Amino acid sequence: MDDSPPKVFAMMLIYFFSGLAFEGLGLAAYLQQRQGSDLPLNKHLKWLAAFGFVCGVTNWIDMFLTSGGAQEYINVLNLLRMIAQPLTGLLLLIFGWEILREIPLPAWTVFIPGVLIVPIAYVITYAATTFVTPSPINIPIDIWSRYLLYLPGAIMAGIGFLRLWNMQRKLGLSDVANLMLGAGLAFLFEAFIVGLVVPAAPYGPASYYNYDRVIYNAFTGEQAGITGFLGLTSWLDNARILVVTGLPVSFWRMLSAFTVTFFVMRGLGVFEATRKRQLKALQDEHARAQKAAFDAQIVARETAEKWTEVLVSINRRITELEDVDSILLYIVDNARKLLPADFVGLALLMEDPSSLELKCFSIEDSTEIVRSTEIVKTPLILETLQSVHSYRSTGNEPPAMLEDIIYGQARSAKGVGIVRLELDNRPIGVLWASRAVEMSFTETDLIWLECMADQVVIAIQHGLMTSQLQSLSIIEERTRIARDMHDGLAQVLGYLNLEVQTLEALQKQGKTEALTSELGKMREAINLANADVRENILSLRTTLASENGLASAIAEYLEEFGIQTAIETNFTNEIDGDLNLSSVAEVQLVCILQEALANVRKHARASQVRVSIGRILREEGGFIHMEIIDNGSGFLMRDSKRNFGLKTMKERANSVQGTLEVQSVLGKGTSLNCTFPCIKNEQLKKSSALFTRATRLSVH
Amino acid sequence: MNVREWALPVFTVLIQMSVGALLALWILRAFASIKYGKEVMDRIVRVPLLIILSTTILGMIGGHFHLSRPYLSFLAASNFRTSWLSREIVFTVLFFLITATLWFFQWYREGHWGLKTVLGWLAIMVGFVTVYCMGHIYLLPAQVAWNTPETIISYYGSMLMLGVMALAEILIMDLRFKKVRQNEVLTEWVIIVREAIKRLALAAGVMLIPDIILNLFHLYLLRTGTALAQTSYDLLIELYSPLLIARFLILPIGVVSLIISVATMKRTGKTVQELFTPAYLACLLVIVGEALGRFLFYAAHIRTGI
Repeated sequence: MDDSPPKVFAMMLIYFFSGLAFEGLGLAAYLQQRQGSDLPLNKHLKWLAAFGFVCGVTNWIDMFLTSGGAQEYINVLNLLRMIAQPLTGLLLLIFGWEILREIPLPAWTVFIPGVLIVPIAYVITYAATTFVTPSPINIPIDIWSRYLLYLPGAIMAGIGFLRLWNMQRKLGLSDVANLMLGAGLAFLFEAFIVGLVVPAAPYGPASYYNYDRVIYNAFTGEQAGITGFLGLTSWLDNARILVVTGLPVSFWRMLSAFTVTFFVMRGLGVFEATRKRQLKALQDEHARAQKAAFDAQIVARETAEKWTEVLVSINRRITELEDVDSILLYIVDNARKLLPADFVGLALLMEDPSSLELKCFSIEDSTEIVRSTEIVKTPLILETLQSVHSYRSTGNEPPAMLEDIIYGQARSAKGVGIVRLELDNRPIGVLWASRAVEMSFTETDLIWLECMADQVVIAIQHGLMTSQLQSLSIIEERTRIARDMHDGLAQVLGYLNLEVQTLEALQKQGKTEALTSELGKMREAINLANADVRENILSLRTTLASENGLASAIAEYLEEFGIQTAIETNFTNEIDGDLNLSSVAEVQLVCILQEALANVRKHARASQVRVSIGRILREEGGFIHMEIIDNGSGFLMRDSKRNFGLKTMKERANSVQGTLEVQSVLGKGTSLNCTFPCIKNEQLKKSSALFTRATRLSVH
Repeated sequence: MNVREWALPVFTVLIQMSVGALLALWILRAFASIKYGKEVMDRIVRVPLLIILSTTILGMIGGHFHLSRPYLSFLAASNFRTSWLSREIVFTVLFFLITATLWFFQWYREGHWGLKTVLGWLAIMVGFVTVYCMGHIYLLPAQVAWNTPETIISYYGSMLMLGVMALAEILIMDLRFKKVRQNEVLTEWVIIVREAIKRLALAAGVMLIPDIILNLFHLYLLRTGTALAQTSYDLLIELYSPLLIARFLILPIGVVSLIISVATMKRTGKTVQELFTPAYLACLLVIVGEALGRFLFYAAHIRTGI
């Protein structure tokens, strides 16, 4: 090498900047590693940092060696270099190995070390033998540090970065990927220029292309070869690089150092990019979570509203004394739709307390009452019936446990919620819902199901109360008839008894005229009694005979009334079809009609009575309106005897949320108007079988 | 030494390693099949057998670099009656052919347990003869440093040591490969390999002692021998002393490191697959040690006469 001062200075500058580049690389890696990251690459940065620091030091040692100095000083520097250079290679080798394994290697690569073990062993052995040659020891250290440590380390680091490039590219991070590509190629260039280009020496691969410029023979008596092995020529040593490129190899190494440092330092931006990505992902996640929470709130609110609406509707139906069967069908149908479930079933305990019968169910295309006797034997349902707590499947149950939950279908349930029905702290049945898909019921679902179960119990209770009320009505009717018979027929019969005694006395006394007169009174009394009896018979028959509908019964009653009393009757029915009145309301309506007509017959002395029924639509719903008008003598409203009967009729109307108004003018007749609320239920005509069973249940 | 000279240690070490590994494998096969059955052993020996065959081929290819005209290598067998070199070549080829036949049956023919057993032991016997011929080549009156029975004994010692260490590494490598692929890791397989590694490590430890003694004895013979022998001795302890020291240190370090790794396996909680790196380094050190020994063997010879 030319030792002119400008060239020495230039070499010093080259070594200085090479060292600076690697120190910068080490510092950047160290700072990045200290900053910390979840990226796996982060844990390898310590090796890269150490490599950068030591490599920088090695270059600066070269710088000082180039500047020259006292021999002792040079010796110390040489010693330091002999330590630093293999250490550099070792650190790069570790970093390269670590980054190469960053992405899991294919399985077959397990065999690569095995395949290479013999060549590696022989290279190591060969390297060891070169230390006994007469050449200075720093030469084999330099060469083998490069061949055995730096070269494989740089190649592995290069491949490792290229694999990261491939991964980042697939992730769509093109900017980071390009930096990884640059770093990979830079390390491969580093592998070539630093790991493969060595000082001229009589051994190594270089021994074959360096025989023409050997400085020392490898072994005593060995002759330098002239011909290169396999045609290799001397072009990979330091001097050849200078000859070919016109620049010393140190310059190219400096260039390589800057390239590696540039791409690796820029590549470390992957951490920043990752942090930003993580931050953005967190922000997105936060926004998504907020939206999800908001949506969940809306859904929950809507769900609650739907449930509340259904519960209100059920309550209204119960209050309006709707048919129990229809209420239960409404409950199971809506429970299935709102949960949502594939099946909702309702089973009740019957006379036999151990016999749980399926009463009604709802599936996707059908909601119906079970006509035949269907005994529920599913163990899970029966266990829940005996348990205080409701049951909710968790998804961990064995499939056999959830079999026979969906009645009438072959598919087995994947999720189930079961609620016990209680009346007066006694189990009366079970309401359950099941799903055929893998979706368990939540605690909220179970709570809603329990609400529905409560509604079922309330509906049944109301049904029972209605039944009792009907019984009371019948008793009351009987009492009325008894009272009427006592006030009418019994009085007449008593009177007739006295009259018969009077007739006997008159006959004995021979008072024929008086006898004839008394007989006339007796005939009137008998006619009156006959009319009362007929009326009572008619009342009884009309009240109980409603199979053809209430309007038809009223028409028949009026016709019979007209025949019996010779009062002209006129009935106008403006209603097409059923009146849609509850059974209790029907009874009360008929009673009011009978009471009114009885008053007409007894007190009004009317020749004509007109009855009309019609439907009135108001905001709160439909009403049945009945009007009774006679052309009799009328009465004063303050008449206490009449007021008592009117009061009774008003009470009857009020008992079924109806109204009653009476208007009477002396000499012009009386008109009576009453209205009864209709039941709005499209399922009014469905079976009443369950109601009957529930009645039996209450007896039980 | 140049490439032609380096071809010799490549050839001798690889062939000895192949024979030793096959011997160790066939002993393992014989004993393990009694306890674990023939079927599982038939599967375990497949990959090791392939690697042994590959190593043999590699050694034979490497040996060709020793020849001036490799394409005429077959002529080397022409002096079978008089030359140990010819006998070595013939028996090496025979060892290769029998091993290849065994490999073929092991990979492509199920069953034939007895035939495979016979082929294996036959290959081992031929291998023993090969190693004997290999050593006998160097029993030359003109080569004082080589002309002792210790040469043949040390060759057999190397064969066993290399075989044991190589088989340990091969078994772990194969198991690791299967674990990575996660296709067929069998509990029995892991148990067999674990037990085999323990015994192989123990065997290597046992063989280490005579190996060291033999090398020291060899130095002693040179030192106390003729003037030429003493010249060889001087070469070893002066010029090649760093290599001699390395030779004496590397081999025990490799073997002992494997023994320690196996012995502490239970305490460190490592699986047998995780012994890959220590076993690999141990095997590498042993090969380097043996190769260094072979280098010193060739480097220290002082020819007398023609």
